[in-house]
Amino acid sequence: MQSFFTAISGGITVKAGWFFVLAVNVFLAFCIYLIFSRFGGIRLGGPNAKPEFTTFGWFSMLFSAGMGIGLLFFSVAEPIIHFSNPPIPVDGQEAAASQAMRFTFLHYGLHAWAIYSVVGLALAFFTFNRKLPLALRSVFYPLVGKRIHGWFGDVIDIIAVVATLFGLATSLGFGVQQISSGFHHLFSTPDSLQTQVWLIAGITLAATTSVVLGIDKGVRILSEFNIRLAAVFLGFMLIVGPTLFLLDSFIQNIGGYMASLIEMGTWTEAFSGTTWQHDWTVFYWAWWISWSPFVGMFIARVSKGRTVKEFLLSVLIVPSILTFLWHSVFGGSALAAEFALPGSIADAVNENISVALFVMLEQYPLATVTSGVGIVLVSVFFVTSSDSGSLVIDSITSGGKLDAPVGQRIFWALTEGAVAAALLLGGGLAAMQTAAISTGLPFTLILLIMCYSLYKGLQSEADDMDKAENIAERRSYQQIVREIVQRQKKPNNP
Amino acid sequence: MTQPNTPIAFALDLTEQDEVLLGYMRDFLSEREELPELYFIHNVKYGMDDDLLEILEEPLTEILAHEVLERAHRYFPHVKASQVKITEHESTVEGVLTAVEHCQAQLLVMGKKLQSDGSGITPLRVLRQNRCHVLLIPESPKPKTTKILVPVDFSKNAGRAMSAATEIASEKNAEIKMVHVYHLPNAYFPFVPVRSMRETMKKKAQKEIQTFVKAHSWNPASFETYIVDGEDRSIVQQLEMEIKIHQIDFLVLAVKGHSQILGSVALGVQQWYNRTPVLFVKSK
Repeated sequence: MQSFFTAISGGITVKAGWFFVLAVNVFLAFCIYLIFSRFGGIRLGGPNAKPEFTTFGWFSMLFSAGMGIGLLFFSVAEPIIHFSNPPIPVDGQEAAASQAMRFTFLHYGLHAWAIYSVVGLALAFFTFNRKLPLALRSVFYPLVGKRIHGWFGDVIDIIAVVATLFGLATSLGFGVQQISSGFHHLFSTPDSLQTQVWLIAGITLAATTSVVLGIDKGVRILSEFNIRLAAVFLGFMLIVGPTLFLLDSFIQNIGGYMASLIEMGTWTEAFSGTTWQHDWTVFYWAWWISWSPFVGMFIARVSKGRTVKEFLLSVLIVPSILTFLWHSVFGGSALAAEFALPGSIADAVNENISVALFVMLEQYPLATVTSGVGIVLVSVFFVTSSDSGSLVIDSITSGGKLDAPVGQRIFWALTEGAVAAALLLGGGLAAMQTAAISTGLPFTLILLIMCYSLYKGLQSEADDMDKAENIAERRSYQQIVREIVQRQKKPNNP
Repeated sequence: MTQPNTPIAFALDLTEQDEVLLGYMRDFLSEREELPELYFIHNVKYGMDDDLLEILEEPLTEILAHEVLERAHRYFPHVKASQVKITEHESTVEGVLTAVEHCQAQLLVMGKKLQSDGSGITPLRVLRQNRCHVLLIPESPKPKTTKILVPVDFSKNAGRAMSAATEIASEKNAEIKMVHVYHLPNAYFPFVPVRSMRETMKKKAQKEIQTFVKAHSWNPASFETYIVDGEDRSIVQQLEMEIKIHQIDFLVLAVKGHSQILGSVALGVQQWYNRTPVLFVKSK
């Protein structure tokens, strides 16, 4: 079964890898264009809409959208794997470490957030400015008009649902593998498929219970608690880890990333003939794309009252910087330990990627406590992702409504768990990657069309605004001048 | 900025707002023994319809210069024709800025209409690109300046704003309230009880206010200082509230120098607030 999934995934990444790379660069270029274009001043919700949240609160929410299972799973594993097996051959461990961090930043940085920005902005614009339902179909209004309410819209939303479902299932699959490894590490419980499926069942049940009880508020508290816990975790690692090295590397990593953004962002292994990118960069782009309706919808809902420029600058930069900090601290701590004692982390990670975080934590004080914190973080992210994921799918399948029947939410919460379990049983990591890549591919095409549709929508909004303002202003100015001229023409005028 | 010899420019748009603006400034400058040099700017933005151009007996710029002079005379009788500057530019912002630079004005006075009129963009762009201080006059300002509010963040720029406010207050015999709005950064301070965090923030802000006042040569008895918890309100919303509660009639706000990027408070006040005159003090 695993070889079947590997063959599909391999086929898509070999044939369409270039397409994913091109697409994410188009998304980033499109975002940068919008920031500096005349559309930058368009306010989401209309010219008089006021932001619903303070800038600080809004930034916190964008940050929370960026935090998740992926960060916990890959923040140690990815730099270590790229360090021990450099994607592009380099001389010396310094160059290898630097390259490892740059590739990690590439996968979690501006390109990733450009995908979410496009989806979030399109959803927010068509929902708040054009008063259409908060669903993917609405974004295509400038291209197909009222047909978004017919079969065309249904197809778009079905693809969005399937993409979200598989994107979410991929994250949940990673999460459960990590929890299982964590338990194995701490309590020597068996780290087997069976344990992972039981864990999926248990945590899905917890998420479903929260759905049934309608304790959205409780989930929100849990989510806030998790972000605070993550902040403490980050602070703790920064203090107990090699602090100066981590701060130094944070700055250097950002510089290195910025300097090689275009080169790395467009690198397709064309001349090296290797296939490293298929399992990493292409997988990430597909994963983020399939995850984008979920994050995009969340970002859209909290961004009313922001201008297009504010929205894009904030969504691109704020979560990227915080994610970079996270990677620099966790990945940097792992690299520092690996420098000190070669093989201390890399050997274990290369054998089982999901133990990465725990092996790294072992090198620092209070490893049992911090490993426990790691497990709590992944588990809570699992519950909140599953719960809010079912809310998003629910919202799409009910035409943008937020008050769909509880039964429907239960159905989606259980389906997510079932898909994650099925993928794990069916083919493990390869199956999850295949799921993300194969649903990401058609959705990439949809996103590219979405960019054009958003451009058309923004253009018509800006034209309407300029036209209305210019006509009114011009008329009123000419009237004023006419009155002045006539007044001055009168002979008795002083 | 309020020194007697500092040139002041007025951006007039030939609407009724000009009367409000000129009337307000006449009263505002009434305490001065000698008026500074005043310039009255108008930009002709649009071309005119042919039927209007046909009946013109002299160039349109001449006609509009007469009109501007006549308006200015009603409030400042000693204004000369040379103090009227008519520009013709597709962009009002460019036209106004060119004229301001030409007459080396240190203060630009503009009208601020309601946002719904679609006129908010010109003051915003002028504020961004202009090098001198900008005073925005709303549609119906209170005639007297008796209470001035100065929001501070203890920065150098806030110090400049406060200095400008003290100059105005001494001239107008007005009272100054210096306010600092703080927010609890609760998302990043887990496990610390909100109450104790609030107390800490409050004490820190009080200390900072004392240091801020000491660092400048202001007389602490000549103004009131206070701090306020913004809770879930933005600073702009909190300032709106303070203005209402304390019946403030003049707001002085610091803006970073000549920059496309305005601070969020200055931007918010410029966009959303239009009840009292606001003086945006630029750093350079």
